[in-house]
This record gives sequence, structure tokens and C-alpha cells, in this order.
Amino acid sequence: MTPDGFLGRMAPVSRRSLAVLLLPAVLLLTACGGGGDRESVHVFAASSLQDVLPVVLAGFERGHPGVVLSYQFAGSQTLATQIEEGARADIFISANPDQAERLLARGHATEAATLIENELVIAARADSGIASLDHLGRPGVRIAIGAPDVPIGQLTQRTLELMEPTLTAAIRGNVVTEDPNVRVVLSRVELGEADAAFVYRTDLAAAPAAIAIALPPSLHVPSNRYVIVLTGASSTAASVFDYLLGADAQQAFAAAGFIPAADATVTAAPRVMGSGSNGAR
Amino acid sequence: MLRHAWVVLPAAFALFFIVPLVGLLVRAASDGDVGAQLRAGSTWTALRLSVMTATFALALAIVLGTPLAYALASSRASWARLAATLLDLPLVLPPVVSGIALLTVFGRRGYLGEPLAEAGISLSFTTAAVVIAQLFVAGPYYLRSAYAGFAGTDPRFQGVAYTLGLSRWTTFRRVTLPLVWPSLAGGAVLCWARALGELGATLLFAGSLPGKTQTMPLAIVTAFESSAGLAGAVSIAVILVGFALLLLLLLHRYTNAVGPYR
Repeated sequence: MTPDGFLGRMAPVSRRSLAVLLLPAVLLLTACGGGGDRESVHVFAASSLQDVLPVVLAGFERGHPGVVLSYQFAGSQTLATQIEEGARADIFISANPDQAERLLARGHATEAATLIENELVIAARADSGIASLDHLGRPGVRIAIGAPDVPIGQLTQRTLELMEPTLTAAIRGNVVTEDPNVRVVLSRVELGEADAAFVYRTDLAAAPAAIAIALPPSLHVPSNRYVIVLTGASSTAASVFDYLLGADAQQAFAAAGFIPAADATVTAAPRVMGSGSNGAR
Repeated sequence: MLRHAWVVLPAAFALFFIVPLVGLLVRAASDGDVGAQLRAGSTWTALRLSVMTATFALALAIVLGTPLAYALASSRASWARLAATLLDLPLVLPPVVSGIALLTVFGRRGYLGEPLAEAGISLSFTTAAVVIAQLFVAGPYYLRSAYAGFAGTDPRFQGVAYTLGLSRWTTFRRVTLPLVWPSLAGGAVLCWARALGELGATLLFAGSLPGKTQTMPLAIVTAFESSAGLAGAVSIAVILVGFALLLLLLLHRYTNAVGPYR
């Protein structure tokens, strides 16, 4: 057999077409190369923070011109899995306390604290005629909720259990979909396919077509966001952590409808976490 | 030995597809609990719904798509070419976008959906919506394959059949269909498999309710976002892949051994 291998024996035309086929791959690889001397901090955060977090951290970026923040938003469980599978992340903001504890216990994280509190509300279409919680029990109303095992669904189920049993049953009977995350739940109302949905108050900023109907205080179930510093993160990531717990960031969160964390509770780490240590700026 | 050295690259390419599937299996065996998922009624509910809807979508693709592909391939008009190209477009759309596109037509406020809703018929969040989503996303695979099959047949065969006095229908059945059979069967397998794996359009257009609209891919993505996490998702995924493999093996056997035109 001739020593010139597979490519050598191909006709010139096919060699050229092969080059054309490989071109996008080469471009893609070189495009990924990039980078520079600026330090980057990778922030993974729960879907419900997609709009607010870049706004809050803009203040940090102004104070640290050499730092580039990159974001990835998805369901908390998805992100926790990616981190455990080796995804490069410095800061993780989770909607689920179990994940914070698990990441700490398994050595994937070094610090964790309660960041902010969020609130469950009813998102209703303005044209749906729904103006109160009781209206959700009317026959024919279409309601979207989160799947029972995902964070927004768990919160919804726990809230439903606090209601009058007849209302709970009527609302459950009107549920048309149990979605994998809160963005999908909210999209049902935005697209007009559902009349109402149970979502976090802060998600409504992204949905002008929907109005928020607050739940009575008797139905309040606390829902916290936790900020976690991941193992191997740089000292810059630690200053992002401190900034998020500091007064400026907490004010920005409050402006977006979040409830500031009353006290930055220690999650599972043996040492006390900096609740007021915002001197890093 | 050296004579077959060129096989190394194709073999590596084949492994590129097979090894990740093996990895999934290994991952499920080590982290997941496939047994628990197999015992869970919810898995079978989702699997039954998936198989039922994908098969129904395939049936619609064959019944409606075969005449369309034949008509487009037989036409010499330039609009037929354009139409064939347009029908490939759903293949490009990210499935979530396909779901939104379907809502603009069949949704509660859609072009057809709104008059239908006034008549008391609502498609979104129903099992019918699952079939429609799968048909929209997977149907083009059947159409494309059938079109290529029909376009690739030599019209002289049909011409000879006509000169021998066979009717159009008999010619189609006895001459054209045997020629294009492999294309139709291949397209059908692609369409069914794609429908079985459909996620994004189904989620957007049909929602996700166990027993009604929650197909296997939706059950997998819900498990992934829940506390079951990766382990739960992978366990369900392995059941879906295993079941699909079984059915595809049976299907290949059927089309090779007792296919009507072999």
C-alpha cells in the first residue's frame, strides 16, 4: 500500500471539500481561544436571578475594572450538577439550601451564606379576570405551576397545603402543566396559554403582560437564595461574595423586589461567614 | 492488515456515537437507580405516552407526507423545489422556537387556536398537542427522505409501466413504491426516533403533565431539575434509550426480512 494515507489517496476535489467541511470547526476552536490579561469570575446562578444579578453586580464591575464577570443561568439543580461534574465556576447562587449543603459537604465549596429572600406570588394575565387567590379555584381557569420536585414547585406545593382544602383541591384541578423551571412556568402566562401561574415575585419584572397578586401573609413560606464560593475560586471571587452580601448589593436586590437577607445565616460550613464584611471594595 | 487501514477513521467515527451511549449506561449503573425507575409507575406512564404519541405522529407523517413528497418530487415547477426547501426549515429551528411558532397558530391566541377556542376546542396542554409538536419537528425527516426517494427514481420506469397499460395507482403501488421503499422506511425510522426524543417544542406547546403531556424527554428534564438530579435523569434516559433500541432492532428486522418489497 502507498505510504500516503487516507487523505493522500483522495481526489483533489474531495480534499478541498474536506477543508471546507473542517473550516467551521477550525473557526470555532480559534474563536474559543481568545482571552486576555483581564481576570474573569464565572458566576452560576439560579434562573430566577437572570435579570437582576447583572444589574446588581454592575456596581462591582465599576469598582473592579480589571475583572470580567461571566454568567450562566439555569435551574439550581442543573448548575449544581454541572459544578459537581467539573464545570469551571467561582460563585454559585442557588435557590435550594440542600445544594449549598451538599456542595460544602463534598468539598466543592468553601463558603456559603443566605443572600436574599424571594416571595411566591400569583402571576395573572391582566385580561384573564383573575384578581385574587380565590379566583384560581374557578372552573376552567388554567394554572401553570412548577413540577413538584423542582424548587419553585416545592414552594408552590408547600403554599398550597396551607390553603383551605377545598381551594387547594380546586386549584390543583385547574393545573394544566407542571414545568421544570420557573421561567417556563412564567412563559405560560406571557404566551397567554395559562391564565395564572405561581412564580417568584421577582420574575414578574421580565413579564409585562402579567400582573402580580400577592398571597396573604398566612400563606408565606420562606424561600431563600444562597450564595456559595466554590473550591478553587480566586480571591476576586471572594470579594464578589462579600460585595453581594454588602449594603449596595442588598439595596439593588431590594429595588428589584427581593427581600434582603435578615441575617446571612451560616449554611453548613464550620466557620462563620462574613455577613457584614463588605470592606473588600 | 494495511489494506484495511483506512477503516480506522470510520471506525473511530462510529465509536464517537457509541461510546457516549455506553458512558450513559455506565453512569446510570454507578450513580443512578434504573431498577427504582423501572418499578416507578410514573416511568411507564411517560414511556407509554411517548411511544403512543411518537407512533401516532409517524402515522400522520406517512399518511400525509407520502403524497406530499410524491407530488413535490414529480413536479417540474420551480415552486415545488422552493416548497421542498421550505419544508426542510423546521429542521433548522431550535425546538423551543418550533413550540412558539406552533403556539402562534394553534395556541389559545393563535390564528387557528382562537377560533377553535371559541368553538370550545383547546389544543395546548393536550395529548393532541404533543403529537402536533412531534409531527412538526420530526415530520420533515420523513418528508425529506421520501422526497429524495421519489426524486431519485428514474421516470422511465413509470413510463414503461404506463405503456404497458398499468393505471397510475397500480404503477405507483407496483413500480414506484418498491423503488422508494428503502427511503420511506429510513425516513420513517428517523421520524419516529426524532419524535420519541422531542423535548423543546412539546414543552412549550403541550406543557408537561404526567399521564397527559409528560413524555419521556420531559420526565427526564424534570428529573434533572429536581432533587433527583443527574442520577434520576440518567436512569430514566437509559430506559428510554434501551426501549428505543429494542424497537429499532425489531423494526430493522422487519424491514429487512419481511418488508413487503424485499
